[in-house]
Amino acid sequence: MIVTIPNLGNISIAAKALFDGLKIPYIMPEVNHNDTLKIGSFYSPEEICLPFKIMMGNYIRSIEKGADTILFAGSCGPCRFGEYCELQMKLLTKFKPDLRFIVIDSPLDIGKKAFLKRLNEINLSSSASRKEKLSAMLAAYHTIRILDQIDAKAHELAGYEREKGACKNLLYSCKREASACDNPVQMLKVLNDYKKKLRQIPLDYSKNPLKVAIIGEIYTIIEPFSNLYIEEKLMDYSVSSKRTLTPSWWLKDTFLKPLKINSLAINHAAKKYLPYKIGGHGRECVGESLLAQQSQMDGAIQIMPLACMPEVVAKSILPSIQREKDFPIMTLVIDEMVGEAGYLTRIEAFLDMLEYKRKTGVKWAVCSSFPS
Amino acid sequence: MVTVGIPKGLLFPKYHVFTSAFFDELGAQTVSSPDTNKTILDLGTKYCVDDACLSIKVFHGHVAWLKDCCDFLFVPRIMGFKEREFICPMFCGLPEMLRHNITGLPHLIDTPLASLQNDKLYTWAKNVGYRITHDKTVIKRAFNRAMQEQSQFCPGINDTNYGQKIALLGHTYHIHDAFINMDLIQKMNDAGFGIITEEHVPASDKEAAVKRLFKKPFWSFFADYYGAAIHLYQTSAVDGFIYLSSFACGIDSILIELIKSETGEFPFLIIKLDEHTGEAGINTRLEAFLDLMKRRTHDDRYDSQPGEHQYCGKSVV
Amino acid sequence: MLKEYYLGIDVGSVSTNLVAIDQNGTLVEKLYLRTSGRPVDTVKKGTLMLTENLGDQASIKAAGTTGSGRKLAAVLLGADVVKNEITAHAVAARRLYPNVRTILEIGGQDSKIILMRNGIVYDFAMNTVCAAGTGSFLDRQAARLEIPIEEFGGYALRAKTPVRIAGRCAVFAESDMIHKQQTGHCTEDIVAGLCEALVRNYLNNLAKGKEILQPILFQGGVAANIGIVKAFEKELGISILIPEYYDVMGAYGAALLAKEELEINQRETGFLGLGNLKHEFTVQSIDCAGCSNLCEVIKICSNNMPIAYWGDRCGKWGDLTANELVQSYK
Repeated sequence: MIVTIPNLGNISIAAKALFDGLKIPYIMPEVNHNDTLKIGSFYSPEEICLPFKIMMGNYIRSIEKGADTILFAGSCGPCRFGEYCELQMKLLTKFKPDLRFIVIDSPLDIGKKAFLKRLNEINLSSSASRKEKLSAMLAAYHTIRILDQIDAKAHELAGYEREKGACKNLLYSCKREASACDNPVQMLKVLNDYKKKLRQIPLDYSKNPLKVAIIGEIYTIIEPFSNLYIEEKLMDYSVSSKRTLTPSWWLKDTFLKPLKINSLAINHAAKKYLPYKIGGHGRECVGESLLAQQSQMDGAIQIMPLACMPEVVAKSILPSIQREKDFPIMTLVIDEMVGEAGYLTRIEAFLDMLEYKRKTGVKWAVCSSFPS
Repeated sequence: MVTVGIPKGLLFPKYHVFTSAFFDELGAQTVSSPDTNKTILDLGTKYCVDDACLSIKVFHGHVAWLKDCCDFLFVPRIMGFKEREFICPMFCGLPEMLRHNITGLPHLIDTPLASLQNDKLYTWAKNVGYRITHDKTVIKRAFNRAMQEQSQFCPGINDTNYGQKIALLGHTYHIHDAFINMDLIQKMNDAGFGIITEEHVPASDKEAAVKRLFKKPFWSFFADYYGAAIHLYQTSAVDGFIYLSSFACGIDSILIELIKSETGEFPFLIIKLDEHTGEAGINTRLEAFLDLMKRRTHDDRYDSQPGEHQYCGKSVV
Repeated sequence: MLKEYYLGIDVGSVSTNLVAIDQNGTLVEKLYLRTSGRPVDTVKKGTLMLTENLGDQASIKAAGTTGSGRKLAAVLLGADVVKNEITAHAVAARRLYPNVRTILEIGGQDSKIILMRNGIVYDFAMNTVCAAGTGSFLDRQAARLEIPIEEFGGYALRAKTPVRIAGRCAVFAESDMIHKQQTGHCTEDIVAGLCEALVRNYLNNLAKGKEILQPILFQGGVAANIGIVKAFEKELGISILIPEYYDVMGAYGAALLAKEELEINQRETGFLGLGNLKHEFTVQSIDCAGCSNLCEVIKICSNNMPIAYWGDRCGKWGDLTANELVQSYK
């Protein structure tokens, strides 16, 4: 069995640590670029959302390289993501008839027995001892946790760095070196080193950079190719950006969900505008925009794939938040047609707008004559 | 007497019997919007975010039409019909979409409904009824009458006196909105084709067909449409499929592919709906499809495969 | 006595506009050129033509660029400001109408709406994907109807009962228009129908949920089309203003921003001078194989000497200093 997974930003690096530790043969998904999307779109239905197409591209590339099993986390609605595996199985088995899918769904939906059975499929192909397995899992968890921390810190500090590009370069070499490691212990060491290095970047706290929150659909915000590298661009513009939805957030959220104590702050914040869970991360999107506003950030950018159902609901609500809370929010809708020029223009114009708003101190809520 | 506005969109064709009986018995006056028309569609596209699907836009239109002539607007937040099943994220967030897209709405009756199980449904009905009257016996009586009337009603279509039969798949709100689908049913009947919809496939048959799937579908409609399509295909009960779909419908984007992958070369016409005026385009494709179907039985040969005729109605307002 | 001017260039995919403004920020000279897919030549030619028109005594004190080719133009000229076209348009509009609250802009390849409140941008939206709401669409339909685009507006005004044309998508609008032609509607009514379709499409696409308040400015090349102007007024029910320099507002904004940049920061211009434009410029794309990102890097050379790179994610190329650029040549 040779396992592969879709490319999900930092998750891929942590998955590598996991597979290395479990001694499972694997093929890492290639870094996403235009060809990935091109080949993925070719084999996908036209109207499906963007993440599906990019993932298809990943799978096909990995299958070409020899992968025969796809490991994927599922969900059971109500957004389309939960049905991805069903359709991908149909489409990919035409491509490779003996392809295996291991889908990790919530035991509440598929039953405990099926859940354990699926886990066991992975377990069986591992030649590691029980102790090694445990430590591999732990290491993978720490990998993703530290990676997310480094990511977050670098994105935040980019606004304060003395030497332009310092944070971005550090982040780059960190990920490059981490991906090159072939065992989890080494990878953790690299990450911890970089965590220290990050603290040594010369900073200028007298700067007062723009602070922008990145909110929206989780795949498109954690996988940089799909959002046209928005966080890197913000770093280039010396903007401090913040994103709550990360792979480690997702893990925590998933495990706490059965106890109903997940994402309390976000859900509490969203209560007035969207009191119910609508699937995907629509409620989180609304909640986070409000939290960002409360924490004195300058604005928020919502990123969503075209026709993403939960985000469309959130998109309807965000203009009211913008108006009532005097908090600028811009929505960027992404599909394979998006041209980089128009995308950059929007981001730059949004940042200009935040800058002017700060400079003039104009309260928008006052300018608008909307009855609220 | 309070007036409750009932928008004639989305699940209205499925449950209007229940709602009108329920509110009537509660002592409320009901007013519903007219059948979808140009004005309603224009209102919908005006208010609703552009990214939503056609049916959500049309619903916005109905709500905008009704907003000034009622005290309450009935917009149930239907989360799902069974435990751990859903309709679609936009159904769950529909009341919010309406509130934030349209200003000046009356009070919305948007009590969430998560299951059609009798006791859950009754709890929901009590909540809804409480907005109109505080008399529990009245609510109980209204509920019973509504349930009774609804149970005698089947919104599906199952034509018998036609030579050939086609399964009309897709959301109820596409099939039963003659404006949106441009009188498709009438056109098919006129051409000598009968129609069957998923409501006329027994639940047990649908469930059996759904077992083919790797994963138990979590969308209630998904299971119904897929199960019905596969069952009708396997039992050769129909001569072809027409799927009425709307742009940006997440469920359709997956479902159509899954059905197609099971039915192979079976005649399958997909009609995509949007805010269109291009009726000519739909007519051409429908006629071509139906002609091929007629020839097929006539020759009783599979020499010409109608295959897939996608109609792209992406045009205007 | 030398006269000092500020240069503004807006390089779009369809047209390249240039303006020169004087010390008071008044527009002195303007130029509207077709980009014709050759932005480098157009920028060179345009700049030389414009400065020629300014006379012998003119000197360029600073330059600003905007539009989708802003980066390229900035490298060629040594621009002091490189701004996105939304901000540029807003700055220009505010200069002419300080209390402007809505800006409608329809250009060759894209369209925008910008809401201004108290002189600052309050909200905006931009459409780059759909061609149905842009100038190119009108050009194309005018050609199909065999009407010169300049007379398009006149035709629309003569219409008695505009036909309803599907305007959501360029392809369907076109087929719908052909259908209407075949059913025998007169050209005037079809032209007016097209104008209304474009406006409806624009408002549905960009202005949804946005509060359009007066004064409204309409700028961009399409503002010359009186048919569209009337269609907007009919749809919105309020009158709209066309600024004097409606077709070069982006460039005007860039020039104003360049002037502001120098005044606020009290610094020297980076403008390379006209002599620099005589160089031979080449644009090349190279596939960087430095890492798994496989970026497509754009390389700009002046007389075969690399002067700028961009398109790389890591900054390996884009952050090169002047010295390193020379090194990269060797």
